[in-house]
Amino acid sequence: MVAIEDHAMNQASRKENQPRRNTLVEFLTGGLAGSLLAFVLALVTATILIEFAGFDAPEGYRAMLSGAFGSPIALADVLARSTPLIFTGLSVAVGLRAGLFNVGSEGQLLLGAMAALLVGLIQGVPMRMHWLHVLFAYAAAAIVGGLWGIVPAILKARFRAHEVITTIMLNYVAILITGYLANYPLHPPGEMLPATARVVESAKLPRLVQGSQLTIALFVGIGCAILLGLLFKQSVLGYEIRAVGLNRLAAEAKGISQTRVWLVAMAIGGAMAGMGGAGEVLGVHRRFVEGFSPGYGFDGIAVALIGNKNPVTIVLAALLLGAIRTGALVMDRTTSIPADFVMVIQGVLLIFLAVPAILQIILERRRAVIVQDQY
Amino acid sequence: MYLTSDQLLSLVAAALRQTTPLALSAIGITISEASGVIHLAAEGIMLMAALAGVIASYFTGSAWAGLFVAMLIGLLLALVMGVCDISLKADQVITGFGINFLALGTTPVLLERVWGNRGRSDAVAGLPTLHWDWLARMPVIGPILDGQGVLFFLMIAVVVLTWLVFHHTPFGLRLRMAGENPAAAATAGVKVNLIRYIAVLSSGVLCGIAGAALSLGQLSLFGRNMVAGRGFVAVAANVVGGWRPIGSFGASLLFGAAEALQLRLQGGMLPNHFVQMIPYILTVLVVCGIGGLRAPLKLGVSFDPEEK
Repeated sequence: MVAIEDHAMNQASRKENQPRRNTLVEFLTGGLAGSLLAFVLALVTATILIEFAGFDAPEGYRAMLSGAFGSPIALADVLARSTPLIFTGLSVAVGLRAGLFNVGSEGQLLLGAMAALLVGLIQGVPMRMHWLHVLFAYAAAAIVGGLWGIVPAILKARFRAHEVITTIMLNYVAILITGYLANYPLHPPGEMLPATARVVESAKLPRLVQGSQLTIALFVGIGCAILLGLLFKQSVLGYEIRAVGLNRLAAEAKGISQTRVWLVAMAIGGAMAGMGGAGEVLGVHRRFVEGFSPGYGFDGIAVALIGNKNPVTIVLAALLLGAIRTGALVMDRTTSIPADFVMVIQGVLLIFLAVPAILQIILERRRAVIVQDQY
Repeated sequence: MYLTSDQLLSLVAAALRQTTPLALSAIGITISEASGVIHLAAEGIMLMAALAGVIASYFTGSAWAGLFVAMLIGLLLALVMGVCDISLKADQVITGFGINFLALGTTPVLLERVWGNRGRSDAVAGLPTLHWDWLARMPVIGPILDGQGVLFFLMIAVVVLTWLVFHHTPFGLRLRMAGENPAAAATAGVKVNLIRYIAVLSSGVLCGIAGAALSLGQLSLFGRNMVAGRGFVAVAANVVGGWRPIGSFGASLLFGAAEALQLRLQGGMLPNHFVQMIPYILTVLVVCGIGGLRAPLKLGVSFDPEEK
C-alpha cells in the first residue's frame, strides 16, 4: 500500500507525463504559504492595474475593508457570502482530486437550487417537522446537482469528451433551464422580477443574526468540509480518488476503475454545488431569482486552488474570498470602482497559482538550504 | 417550417457572419494547441480585445485603429500566457482560466471608466462591410457574400494561409513536431519553445481579431460579457476539427450555423430559453460524437531544452 502511494506521489508532479504544480513548496509550507504569497502578489498586481486604469485603489481598499469588517453585521455578511463558496470550492476540489477540472459547479448549483425550491414550495408540512422539510430540500438539491454533475463524467468515460468543454456548455444549458422555469412555469402572476414564488415557512433556513443573511447553511457547509476531509483521508474511496487523480493508468493497473471514480467524484462534486444552491434559495433569497448567483461556481475554482484542494483550507479560502466579495459590494456602492474588480484579483491570483516557478523563486530564496536538502 | 430560397440564403449569410469570429479564434487555438500549448484563454482574450477595439475606435474615430489595438491586446495577453506556460511551465489550464477571469473583471471596470456605464459602451465607428456590384449580381453566392464584413474575407484568407503553412511548409512540420514529439524535434535542431512562442503569439493576434469581429464587426459597440461562451465553443471547434486548420474551420461553420439558426428561431414557437440552448447542446453532442480524434501527444506538457 505504501509502495503504491509512493509511486503515485512520484507521479504527482507529472500526471500523464505532465509537469503539474510542484508539490515541494506545498510540502514545506503546508500549502498555505504559497497560496498566501500568490494572494499578496495578486493584490499588488491588481492594485497596479486599477491605478493604471485611473481609479483610486486605496480608497477602494478602504471601502472594501470597512465593508467586510466594519461592523458585526458586516462580519456576519462575510460568513453568509462565504457559505456558497465553501460548497462550490469543495465541488471543484473533489473533481481536481480525481484529475477532473469541473468548471460546471455553476450549473450544478443552479439546478440544485431549483430542486430545493421545488421541495420548498410543498405546503402543509407542520412546523414541528420543519427540519425534515429542510432535509428533503437539501437532499433534492444534492441529488439533482449530483446527477447534473455525473453527465460530463459519463460523457468523458463513454465518449472521451473533454470535461472542461462539456461542463462549460452544460452551465449555459442549466442557466437557461432554470431561467425558463423562473420566468414561465414557476413565475407567480404580478411578480415583476424573473423569480419564482417564495418557499413556505417550514422550508426556510433559520437566520442566525438579525439583519444579516447568515443562516445555518454555514454549518452545513463546514459539516460537508469535515465529511469530505474524512473521506479523502480515511476512506478507500478517498484513496481511489487520489490514485486516479495522480496517475490514472497506474490506478487502473491496480484494479481501480477510473470510470467509477470519475462518476463518483463528479456526483459528489455536483451534490456539493447543488447543496450550496439550496442554502441560497432556502436561506438567503427564499425563492429562486434568475441570476442570483454572481458566479459562485466559478469562484469555486479559485477557492479550491487557493485551498489547495484540502477541505479545511478550502473553508479558509472561502472566507477570504467571501470577505473580498462582501467588501467589494460596499466598494461598488460607495466608490466608482465596480465590484467586478474582484474578478481581476481572482484572475491574477489564478495565474500566480498556476505558475509554481514564481512562488518557488521567492520562497526558495528564503529556504534555499532546506530546498537543497529536499532535492 | 417552410423556407423560401431567399430565406435560406439569408440564413447561410447569417451563419457565415457568426462563423467569422468563431473560426478566427478556433484557428488561433489550433495553432497554439498543435504546438503543444493548451489554449483556454480565447474567451478572455476575445473579450478584452473586443473592448480594446471599441475604446480605440471611440477615441480615434477609426475602426481600423480599433482593429489594430485589438490585435495588440490579443498579442499582449498571449505574451502573458506564453511566458507563464512556456517559460515558467505553469499549469496551462489554470493560466487560461486566470486570463478569462482577468478579462471578465477588467472589462466592466474599463467600461465604467470610459463611459460610466457598466453594461455597454456607446456606439463607435465599426468595420465596413464589403459590397461589389459584380459579386452581388452572381446567383447563390451573390446574396450570401454581399454585405459580409471585411473580417469575413480576412478569416477566409487566414484559413487558407494557415492550412498552407500547416501542411506545406517546413515551419508547419516543426510546429506539429513541437506538439507531438518536442524531444525529437529538439534533437533535429528545432527550437521548440521558440516555435511555441510564435504559435501562442499568433493565436493571440487571431483571438484579438476575433474579438474585434464581435464588437467592431457585428455591433459597433461593446456589451458586457458579449463573447458569451464563444471562446469555449471555439475551443470545442478545434477539438472537433481534430487540431487541424481545415477541421477547425469546418466545425466553426457548423457552430456558426447553429448560432445563426438560434438567432433566427427566437420569438418563434419554442420558448427563447430553449432556442438559445441549441448551440451549447450541439457543441456537447458533437464533442461526444468525435471521441476518436487524437490530441497532439504532448499537449499541455512544457518543454525544457536543458532536460534530456
